[in-house]
Amino acid sequence: MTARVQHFELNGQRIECDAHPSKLVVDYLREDAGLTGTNIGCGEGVCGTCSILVDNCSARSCLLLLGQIEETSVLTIEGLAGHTLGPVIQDAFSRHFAAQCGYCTPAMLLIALEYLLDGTIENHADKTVIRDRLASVMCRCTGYQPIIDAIHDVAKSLALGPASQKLRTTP
Amino acid sequence: MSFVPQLLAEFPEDGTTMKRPDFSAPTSLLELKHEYSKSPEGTMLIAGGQSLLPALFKGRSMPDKLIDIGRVAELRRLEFGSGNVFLGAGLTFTQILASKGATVLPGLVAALGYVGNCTIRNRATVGGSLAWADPRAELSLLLLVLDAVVVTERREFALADLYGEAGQNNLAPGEIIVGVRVNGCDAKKCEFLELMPRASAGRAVIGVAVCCDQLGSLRIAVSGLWKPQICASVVGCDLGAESLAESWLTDHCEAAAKLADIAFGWAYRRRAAAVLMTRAIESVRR
Ligand SMILES: Cc1cc2nc3c(=O)[nH]c(=O)nc-3n(C[C@H](O)[C@H](O)[C@H](O)COP(=O)(O)OP(=O)(O)OC[C@H]3O[C@@H](n4cnc5c(N)ncnc54)[C@H](O)[C@@H]3O)c2cc1C
Ligand code: FES
Ligand code: FES
Repeated sequence: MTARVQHFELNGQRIECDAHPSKLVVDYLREDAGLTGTNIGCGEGVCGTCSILVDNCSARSCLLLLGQIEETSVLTIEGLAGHTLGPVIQDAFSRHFAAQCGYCTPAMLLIALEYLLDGTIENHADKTVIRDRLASVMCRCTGYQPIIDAIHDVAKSLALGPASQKLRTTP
Repeated sequence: MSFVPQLLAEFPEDGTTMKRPDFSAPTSLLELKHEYSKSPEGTMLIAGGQSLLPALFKGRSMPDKLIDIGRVAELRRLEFGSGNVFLGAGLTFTQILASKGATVLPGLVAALGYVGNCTIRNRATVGGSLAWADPRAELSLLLLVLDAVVVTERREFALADLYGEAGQNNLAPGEIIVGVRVNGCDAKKCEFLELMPRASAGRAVIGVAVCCDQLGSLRIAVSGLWKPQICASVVGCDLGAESLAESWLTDHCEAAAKLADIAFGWAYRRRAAAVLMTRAIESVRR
């Protein structure tokens, strides 16, 4: 066993943990941290249901080891509401009925946040770009359209362009 | 307790059937070399983990130790200058796509854009992709036609020599890819095409890369037909694009073991390769 203490930030809180660095992040979140909002679908990197944000970039937490998030800032669905854009995205999803069974929804909300924070995108309100980005997570229910509409709505209301770089803040 | 049985099975808590691998994350190339050389046989490098971890889960065997290369700054060198490009092994596809120089390497933005999805590109690295030797990988296909040179901590060699006949990588035990270099990019035109855009998880069915130098010589590579990706040059040929594509494919049809694909039959893939190759040749000759 590798004796090692991991340090990272989880939903804005500094964490020191002694779980094994080869433990999967999804298992750490659900078993050790009690954050069961991160769902598991395929467990092998295909469906994206387990997505979290690591330094504002999405990652499959079922293909990520605890040792690999050392000194990073991790955001799970439980931390979304504390982010500047979190409530805005949640509200848009709710108004557009962008969830049915809800299994993909935690991941979809985080992918939406990553997208809206991505300063390399010229026009965040472009529905083709939004659709392409949502390929990261499989949704078996909605057909994606209401999710696209919700994100489009947020992008339009915030008039997001390349300037969205300025929104890159830690929650 | 984890919901998914295979996650439990892979790293069993009781340690009787399979021990969790030890883990280290060196912060310099020197430290990485030192760590890796201690026991190259029982140790595996992990970069993004997007190919290695699923394979470890399925194979039900674990190395004694995983060394994460993600904190080694020397492996994240990115240089785009005067027609020469160096891509560090530890760079993720997203980091490369976000860099100002990404367009200097012809075909790079198109090729990487086909890889998985944004979340996969956030973690997948240059070194991991090349070492994994996936016969459908986009990056190696492009770099093969661009005559890229692989730089390891001990030698430099043509990318084509990284791959064996069965599609495995030819790295020596303990060898580390530091990066990949392409020279003379400004004198090359390149087209990268795939059969269709894919959502989320699907892998490429057929990929084609064609590169044209200033003298009009072509290098053509195809993925999705044979086990290793096949790349070969065509010098001084005045055949039309369609005839050239057909003769190139015929010449190489017997060359290597066919790649199995349960969803797309051989005849369909070969036809698709001919069409894409024709379009790519026309594009670089224009
Ligand atoms: C859902 C999904 C979709 C995908 N779609 C595509 C796709 O469309 N196209 C595509 O090309 N790929 C695709 N991939 C694969 C992804 O691009 C690969 O994971 C990636 O190419 C491998 O990079 P990695 O950094 O994850 O490597 P890892 O998985 O960490 O490692 C792969 C191998 O490389 C070795 N290695 C890593 N770095 C080095 C180094 N510096 N020197 C020597 N050996 C090293 C490791 O030991 C291991 O054997 C997909 C993956 C998933 C999960
Ligand atoms: S559960 Fe992680 S990608 Fe499906
Ligand atoms: S809402 Fe059911 S999977 Fe997306």
